[in-house]
Amino acid sequence: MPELGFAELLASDPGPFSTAARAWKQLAEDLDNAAEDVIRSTRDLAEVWPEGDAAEAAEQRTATVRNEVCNAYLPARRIGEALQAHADAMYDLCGQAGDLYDEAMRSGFVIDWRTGVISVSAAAAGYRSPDSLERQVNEVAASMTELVGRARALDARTTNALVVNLPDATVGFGALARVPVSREEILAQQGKDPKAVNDWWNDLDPQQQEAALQQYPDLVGWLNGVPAEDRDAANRLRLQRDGDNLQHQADDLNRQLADLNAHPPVNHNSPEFYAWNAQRTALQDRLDDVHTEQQHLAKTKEALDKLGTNGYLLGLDPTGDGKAIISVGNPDTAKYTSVMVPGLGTTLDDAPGAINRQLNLYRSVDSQASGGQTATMWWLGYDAPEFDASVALSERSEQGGAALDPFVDGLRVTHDTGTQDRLVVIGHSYGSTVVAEADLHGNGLAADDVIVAGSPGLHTDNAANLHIDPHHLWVGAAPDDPVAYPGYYGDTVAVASAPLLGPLGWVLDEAYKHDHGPEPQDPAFGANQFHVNTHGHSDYWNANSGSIDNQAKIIVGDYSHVKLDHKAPTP
Amino acid sequence: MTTLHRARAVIAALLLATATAACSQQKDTTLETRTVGEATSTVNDYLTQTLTLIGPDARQSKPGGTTDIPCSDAPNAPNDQFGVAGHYQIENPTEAPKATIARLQQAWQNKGYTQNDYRTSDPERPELTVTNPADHIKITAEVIKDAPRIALTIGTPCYHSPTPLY
Repeated sequence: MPELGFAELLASDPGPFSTAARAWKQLAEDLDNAAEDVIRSTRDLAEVWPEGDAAEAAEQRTATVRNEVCNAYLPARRIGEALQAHADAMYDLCGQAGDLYDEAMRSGFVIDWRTGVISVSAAAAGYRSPDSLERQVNEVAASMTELVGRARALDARTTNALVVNLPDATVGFGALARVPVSREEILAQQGKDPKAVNDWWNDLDPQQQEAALQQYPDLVGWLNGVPAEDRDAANRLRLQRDGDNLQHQADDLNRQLADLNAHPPVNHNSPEFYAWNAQRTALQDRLDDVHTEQQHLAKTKEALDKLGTNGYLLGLDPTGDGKAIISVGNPDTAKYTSVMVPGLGTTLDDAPGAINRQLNLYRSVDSQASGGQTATMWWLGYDAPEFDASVALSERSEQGGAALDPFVDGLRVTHDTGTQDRLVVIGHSYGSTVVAEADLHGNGLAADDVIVAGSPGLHTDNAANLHIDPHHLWVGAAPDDPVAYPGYYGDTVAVASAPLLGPLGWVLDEAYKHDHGPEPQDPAFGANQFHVNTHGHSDYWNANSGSIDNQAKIIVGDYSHVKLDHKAPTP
Repeated sequence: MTTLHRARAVIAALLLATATAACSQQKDTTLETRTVGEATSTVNDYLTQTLTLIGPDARQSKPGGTTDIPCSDAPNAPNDQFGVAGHYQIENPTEAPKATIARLQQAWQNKGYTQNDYRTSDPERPELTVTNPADHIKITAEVIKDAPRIALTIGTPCYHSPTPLY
């Protein structure tokens, strides 16, 4: 085959490379799906057919098939990627070569395609000095040489990628399994840029990914950069296993308590009784914790059951108050995506009601969208503050913001087209401070728009200090929301609520005597204020809410039809 | 604002929200009692009526559907108070959406519905919101962005459920 020259570059057609790339990528996707089918359908073979020569032979054969299918996936994908990269680069080089050729012709140069010699037409030579002509010819020649050099290097890279990844003539892609991923290897991915995590995950073959899901669902389920379907599979596995484990723990603790209660010390003033009682209390406390976690899992399952196949569990941790990320719709294929961060007092027990609100928002967005899929998420990926001093501190919002920011980055990375058309982050109440913390630091939230409702403040004095463009910051505040307008009830409520709040009454009193800082709905803060027709602090997402309609319009980018109380000022 | 002042403001406001949530629980004892099924059925009836008003060629361009939603997301809010919202996308190939909304406005006015909002500032994409004073069902019809279709929202007021829901 003759070496590639300028004429070949100019005449080349990258189209067939693109076509071949698509075919190889499709083959890789089909292999990935086939590998998952093979893995899941043969996983329990040893369990249901444990003994005998035939069982052993069957197990060996299925392992070989699993390995062969899995080993074919990555090479097929890499060939597809190499061909696509080749096609893209060739389009670029061909374009540059064409521009160079046109420019040379306009300058009166004639290029001999066979020899590469550049000559100058008589007309062009007539009005330019020999030095100027020589310099121009040399520049054209250097550009041609550079383009041809880049094309040859590209050709070599692509050839190498094809050769390395094509199957061996005798052993195909091989029947040996790749080394499974270790827990340490997954732990090392935590905190990394989601793009790097995504690259790492994609370099695992389906069997390695499946093994990672199966063995370490608690880690894979929270890993930003892992695709939504894989996170969902990991977290659902954790949901099931944690449920089984907790039931075993509950059964064991109940047995221990029953044993203990069967033999109480007779003398209630004896050291034996105190020790017995302390042990019983400790067991009961542990049992209460187990029941709390069981309740969290039950509520998560209840929420997921409402969504059927359209539900995605993108994070789960039943310990403490519980954490979870639940999506209505697949964010990796959605055109319109929203992430909603709840506020004060939210626990995993709130999942069923919260998911109904997300489902309502999903349907509202879907009814406003002319095409494309939708995903709306409930993001309880942080420990929301309780009714104690934690609500007064920034610690929870800082922790939440640090978790929210890479999660949103991960959504961008794992989207199947490279990025969503629209991604909007919503914060309610204290959740708005989490959103603010995520946006104030680093390079800000990777969101197209930010919506806050019932916000106590955004940890800054002016919208301009946030990374989000103030014209894409939307604030909702019901006029009688005491969080958005802390002065709404004035001293009357401070005094009236004192019996309910007990020793915290002084805080109310003090708070109302001081400047609470800028309310984000204040025009001077510099954000948009969208119109809200609900009442109080907790009704922004109810059935009759115009707030939902406005949020849906923001999510689909229908800005001109958002009902506003005031717009962000024009700079 | 100093950290201390912010802290005080936040704790005061959020705790106050809890206080008012407690107040609203008392107020909501007057809610009408309905099951989710009954409320959903009401929304579906309104959808059918609206499709009939639009005309025989009207159809849903997407599945749409109803959702029951808690009336409040305050912590410890009652778990037996809900509303139902239905969201649909309607197309009617025989008529421009703005003309359909103009006809709906007239038809709903004739039924005695209260007109909450009728925006025509964007003449190609009017937005209409009405409420039936008899049952407080709210309906919004508006032309969506980038397609000749109507987004239809039907929302109920809050009801009291005979059984806990959430």
